[in-house]
Amino acid sequence: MQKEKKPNSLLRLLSYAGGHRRLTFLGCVLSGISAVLSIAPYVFIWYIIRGTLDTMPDFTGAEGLIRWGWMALGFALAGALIYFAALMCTHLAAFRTARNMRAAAAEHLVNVPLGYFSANESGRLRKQIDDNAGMTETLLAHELPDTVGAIITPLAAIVLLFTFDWRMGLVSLIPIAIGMVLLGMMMGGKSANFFSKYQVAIEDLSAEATEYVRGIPVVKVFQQTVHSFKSFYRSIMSYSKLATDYAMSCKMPMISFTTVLNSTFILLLPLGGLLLASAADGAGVVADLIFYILFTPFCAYMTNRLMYAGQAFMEADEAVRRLDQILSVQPLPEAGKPERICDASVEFRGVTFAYPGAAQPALRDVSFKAAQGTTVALVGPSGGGKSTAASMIPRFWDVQEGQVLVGGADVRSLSTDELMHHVAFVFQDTRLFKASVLDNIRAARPNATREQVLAAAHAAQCDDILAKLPGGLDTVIGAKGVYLSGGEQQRIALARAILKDAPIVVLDEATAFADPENEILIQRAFETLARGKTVIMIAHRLSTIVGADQILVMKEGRIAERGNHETLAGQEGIYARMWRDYQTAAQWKVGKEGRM
Amino acid sequence: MFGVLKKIFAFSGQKRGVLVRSMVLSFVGAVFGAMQLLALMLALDVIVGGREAGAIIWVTLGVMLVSIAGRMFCSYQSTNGETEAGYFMVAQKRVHIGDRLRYIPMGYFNRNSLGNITAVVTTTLGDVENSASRCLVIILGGFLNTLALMLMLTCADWRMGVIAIAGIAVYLLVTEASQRHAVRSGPARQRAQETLVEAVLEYIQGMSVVKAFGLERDNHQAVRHAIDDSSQKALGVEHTTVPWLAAQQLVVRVFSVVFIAAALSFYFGGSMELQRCMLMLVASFMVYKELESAGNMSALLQMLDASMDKANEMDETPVMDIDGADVPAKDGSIVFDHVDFSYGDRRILDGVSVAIPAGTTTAIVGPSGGGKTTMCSLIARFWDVQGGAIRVGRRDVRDYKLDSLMRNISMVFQNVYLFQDTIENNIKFGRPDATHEQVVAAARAACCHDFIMALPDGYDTVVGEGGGSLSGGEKQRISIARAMLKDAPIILLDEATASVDPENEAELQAAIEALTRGKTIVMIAHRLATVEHADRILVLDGGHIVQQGTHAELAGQPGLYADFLNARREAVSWRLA
Repeated sequence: MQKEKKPNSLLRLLSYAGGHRRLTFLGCVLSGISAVLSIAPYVFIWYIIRGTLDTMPDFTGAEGLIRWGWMALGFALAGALIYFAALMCTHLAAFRTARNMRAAAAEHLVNVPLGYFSANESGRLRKQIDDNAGMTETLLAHELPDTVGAIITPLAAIVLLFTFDWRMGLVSLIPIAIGMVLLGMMMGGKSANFFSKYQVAIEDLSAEATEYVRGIPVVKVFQQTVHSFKSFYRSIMSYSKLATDYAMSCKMPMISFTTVLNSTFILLLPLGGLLLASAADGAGVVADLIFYILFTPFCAYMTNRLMYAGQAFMEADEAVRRLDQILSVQPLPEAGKPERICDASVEFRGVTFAYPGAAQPALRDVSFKAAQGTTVALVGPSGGGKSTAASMIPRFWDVQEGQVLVGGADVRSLSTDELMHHVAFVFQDTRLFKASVLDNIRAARPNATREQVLAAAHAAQCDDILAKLPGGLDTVIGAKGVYLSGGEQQRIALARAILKDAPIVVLDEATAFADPENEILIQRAFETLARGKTVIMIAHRLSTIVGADQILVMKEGRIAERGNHETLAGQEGIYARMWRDYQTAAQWKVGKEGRM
Repeated sequence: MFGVLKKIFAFSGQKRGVLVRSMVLSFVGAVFGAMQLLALMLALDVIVGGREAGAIIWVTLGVMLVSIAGRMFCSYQSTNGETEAGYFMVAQKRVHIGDRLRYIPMGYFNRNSLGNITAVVTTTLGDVENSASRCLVIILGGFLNTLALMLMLTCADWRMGVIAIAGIAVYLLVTEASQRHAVRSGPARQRAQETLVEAVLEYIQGMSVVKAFGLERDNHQAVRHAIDDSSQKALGVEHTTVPWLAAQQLVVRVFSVVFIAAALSFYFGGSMELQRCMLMLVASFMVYKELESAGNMSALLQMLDASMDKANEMDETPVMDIDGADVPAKDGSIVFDHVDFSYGDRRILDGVSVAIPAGTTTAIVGPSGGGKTTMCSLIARFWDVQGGAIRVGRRDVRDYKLDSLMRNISMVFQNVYLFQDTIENNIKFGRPDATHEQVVAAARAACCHDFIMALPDGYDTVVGEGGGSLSGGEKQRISIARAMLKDAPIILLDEATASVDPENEAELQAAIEALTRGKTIVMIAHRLATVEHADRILVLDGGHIVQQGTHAELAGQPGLYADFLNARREAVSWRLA
């Protein structure tokens, strides 16, 4: 089974190499040639020894010996140079392949439903992409060409071993054969299994470390130590133990392997003695003996390379498998024949949706329609499904039942570009990129002029931010000394949405609360953004939505009540109660005993 | 090369003894290995030199057996030690770095450094543990083997010994030069790797926004660029290293041939016996073999060197808890005494003085960037002041050990962070020995018991990284329960936290009220109602306290506070047109 898998992962790897596949092949061929050339000096040494023993004690034929010496040197050097040429080729191919793997994974992630990111920590994903691709570099750059050399050498060597003296040749093969058996034992099922475990352990460690580092303010304030921060400590220790255990378990076969390969003497010398005693051509036997004593360790050395190659294959196999895990996540299917959006309405038809792995659906049979140019407000307790409903519109998730229609077309039948072109979203987790303010705002409409960007920034109440920043619109966010508060970032994000000028706007009012001193500014920016648009809004402050065309009260995934403010406030329902609570809520204060 | 070995020793900490023992064993093993040559010499004496076989055969056999057995035993023992030390020292280093992070000023942590630290703890140290023991075994072992052989050779014929040593010297020079070259180009590769880590992290974490704005292409280009760049840099380094590797190989092969030529010419010149000459021919292939495999490892060695440097850099970050003592606070008061604080070039607080008596509520208001968050962070000593002093419980915060100071303070952060763990453990975070009953009591007081019980696994429900699976308000209430369970006399509260989820407003208000009863409270205040009832209001602008007093005092005078009141009223009555 192991045999089956190896070529598979190699083929898989090479499929990432693209045009560089040829370089890999060239590198392997060169490595094979180099291996054959490296054998040649041993043959010349044999000639030298033979010549020395034959001519002694008369050295007039010594010139011939010197020629053999030069040949030996020449072949040795040629072998070395070709080997390096091979490495250059494979390195180039290896780095390109790793790059392509990373790029493929990164590209794939864009099309994966967002839920995937809440189920997988960012640290773990990062590692899965980066490090696994990196792991394949060694295989393609070093181990693959070395393996070719390590396979070619014994083949050529067997020919040589039997050419000079088949008996000594046979004996020389014994340690190599034993070595191979040991090697097989080392790479058996147990250790292949280990590699998966090892990867899980190191990914755990990575996830825990990321979390620990990101949560360090909390760690500090709550006086935790690494030791009491159990899961991090445990992940360090269990990983360390696993790695040590494995290394230790390999120790014995590995050392036996090395020892066996290095002890050909013990077999060759007695055999040489025996042969010498019965041989007519004594010098020939001695030359052969020395040749074998020299040559067998070389074969062993090549076999040794096989061992490292075996390990690298195992690692690469695992790395490819892990990367494939990312690549095998089902992307949101793109529509085959994309439809067009014909107006700015949004409609939910019997939408039911449950988060992956959740027992309860987050939305149950939700239906409503926001006609073009109207405002729909979603209100209700947290966990009621407001945010989930809003996130169905940009297709962060796909419905399980029912339909979400934008401009009369099912969102699943629209191309991503078409959908994104018509809808603007302002959610709580704003993220600005490490680029200039100009580029951040312009991201939504790359061909906008500087004037248009400035106008959008002005409409989003960003004038004070631009005045404050050293380079104005061209200041790079995230550069040294450039700091924007949460509310300021929100306003830049709003400018981005305003510039986009999409006919449908989905927004979360909580955005305004994230940074209350900016609240009024953000609200004004909202106003500009929403003017004349179809608006779906997650509302928190009930005063905001008094004038909304439609108010949907969401509770436990259902629309519990719907209507405008007047009708809902008049009924004795959830909304009426919320409205009463809201009006009295402003009265609270921080508790001081005796002052309540 | 030796510099790296020295670093490994410095790195090994508690396991240094094990390492030294391993090295000694490794050398003994090498001597056993070199005994093979001795056996060969004896055998050649018989075969070529025509000496009487007899007992020598048995001696030869014995020497060979001892050589093999001794070598096997020694290398087993020494690799065991090296492996153990390698993994152990890295685990210790991870724990050490984790511990140290607590004492580094918060200012050190930005998005940049978070990626960097994570990379060090995982990838960089992973490289160290995987290669440290391999380096020791192959490189150091290779050297010791060569050394042992050299001794053997010099004993057999000093001239050959000199040639062999000359070859090694040249080889080491080339290696050293290539190392120096690699040291120059290494940092570029490291930087590219770090940029890659950071870019991929940002890419993944920003995915929701990317999708919402249809920025897939741009963002993908950014990450693609980082990927290309790191690949290019790595390749560049590799390409400049390969010629050096080639040079090393050339040296080895040229000297092997020189060695053979010398042996032959000594023999032809009559100054060396035939059997010695044959021995030297065999030795020529052995002398440099180990060195060659050690040389092949030099790329690994460079990586190890750079990785250890990076891990050690963590020790060069500033720490704050140098002289603190484990003392209790005398009361719950807080004093700012002419405090100056800058973040980079930006002055955040400028000569701020204020005394906050125990058991009072102080509200800080003012425009964003005015220094509100900084004031709170300084109380918890997330940073150290540059001028003046902050006293908590009538002691300078710098006179406390970090843990003693933190015992007095609870904080409810603006960005609630929950760990990927059960809700129970998240609440217990500040008091790991709390009983389940105490956790439930805190959760009840923070108004989160009901929604926790509604979750499928109740208190054992595991929340995602950063608390991803809960709503904002739910996370905040859990963080309040966490603070409540800690029960510290001083509470720092960012009210922004409290207002993100207004549909649960009444519950949150009750939670905060329970948390703050009878405590010293410093809060970054946003709500009119909160501010109105505070004992004192500090208006902070441009790093100065521009106004202070009660609501009644400040509301009457023109100034920032009056402006703030107007803006609040406007925001609350805002409606979407």
